[in-house]
Amino acid sequence: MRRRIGRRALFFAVTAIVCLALVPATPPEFRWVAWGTAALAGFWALMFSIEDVIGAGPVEETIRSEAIPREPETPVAPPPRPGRRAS
Amino acid sequence: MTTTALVIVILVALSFDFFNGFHDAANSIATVVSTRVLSPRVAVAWAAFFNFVAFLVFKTRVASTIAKGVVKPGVFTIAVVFAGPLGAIAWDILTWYLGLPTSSSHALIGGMAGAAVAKAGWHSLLGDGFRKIAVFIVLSPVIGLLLGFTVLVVVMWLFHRYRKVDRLNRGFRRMQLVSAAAFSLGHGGNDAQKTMGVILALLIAAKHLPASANVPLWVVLSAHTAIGLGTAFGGWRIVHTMGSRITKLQPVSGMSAESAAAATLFFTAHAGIPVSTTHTITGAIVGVGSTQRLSAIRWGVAGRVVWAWMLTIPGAFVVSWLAYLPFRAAG
Repeated sequence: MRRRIGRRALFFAVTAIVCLALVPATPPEFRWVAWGTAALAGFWALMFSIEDVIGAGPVEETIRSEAIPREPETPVAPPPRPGRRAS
Repeated sequence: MTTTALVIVILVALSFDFFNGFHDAANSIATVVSTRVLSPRVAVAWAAFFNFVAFLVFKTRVASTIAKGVVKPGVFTIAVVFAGPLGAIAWDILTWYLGLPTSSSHALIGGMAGAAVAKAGWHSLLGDGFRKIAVFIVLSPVIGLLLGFTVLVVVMWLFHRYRKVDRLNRGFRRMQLVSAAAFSLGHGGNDAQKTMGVILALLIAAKHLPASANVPLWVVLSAHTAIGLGTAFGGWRIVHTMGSRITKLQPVSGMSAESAAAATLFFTAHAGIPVSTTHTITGAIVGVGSTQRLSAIRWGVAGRVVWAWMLTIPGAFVVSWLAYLPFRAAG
């Protein structure tokens, strides 16, 4: 079954593109910041793309730890009730 | 007359600083109160204290950018420096009334530029300074987002097999004290310096200081006192409503978001780049939330940040430009 690239990979890919688009406008002494953020966003886009393609599932489902609770945080919305489709 | 005008403009600038701390107080204390690391009263005092002592940590590079890196030397007069913050305050009030998103920091920069252009035309602006500020309007929340996400993922990787949950949470709660203090330092170090920059520009325009002068100590202390008091009064105001509005936050997430935002603010303060602390912490919280799933993020909040990017500087520019016209007409 063909795996689709998930929204998180696309989100970070778009973030990387935005940072790259800022490089020409950035003063030379700060271009390393724009390159660095583009590289970090690109890294996460690649990681999530690989995860989606090989079908390993989202990161939070492979880490089973009671120490890191999964309750949402501000400004994150509360999780959907069981039986309701997440928006 | 000049001394009176000078005092009035300095008081206007310090008022801007006070209200900056006042309405940003929630950013500084929301996470530590939500996780019950500190009681609301102690959290307010904690944030206000670190806002104030930030002058011991940072040099006045952001202030120098505001005073000398946005508008050409010689353009500033008492009237221009008065119209700038006045326009920014008016823009903040207008957007509050209309319910539009804004950034006080960007409003101040737009206001200073608008008043300068009203006096001396477009060539009075320094392109390089504006370029740097404009780029980091977008980059600072993005850096906060990426660092927040990365920090929390690294923490999750490091501790996901750790079974002593209570001990782990105690550790993160202690670390959140440090991260909250660091964020308040960054907030004070970045936002208080914007007012310092305005007052420095004013003192240079009034010939009380040479053009190459640094920020005097009394200006540093008064600006940090104003923002510290603003945080104390603003935090105190929201203490009473905090229990009903703040959703539950985990110490590890609060610590990650604050650390990411603090690191971003430390860097921009060191580099002399004025940024919005609200947008930076918003980006960090979105980044932390992204570790769960994108659909769980309140994208309305992020959307308001984007609208603020587009509206604030042009809006404050126009309001300050209009605010300067009576001074130009008076000659």
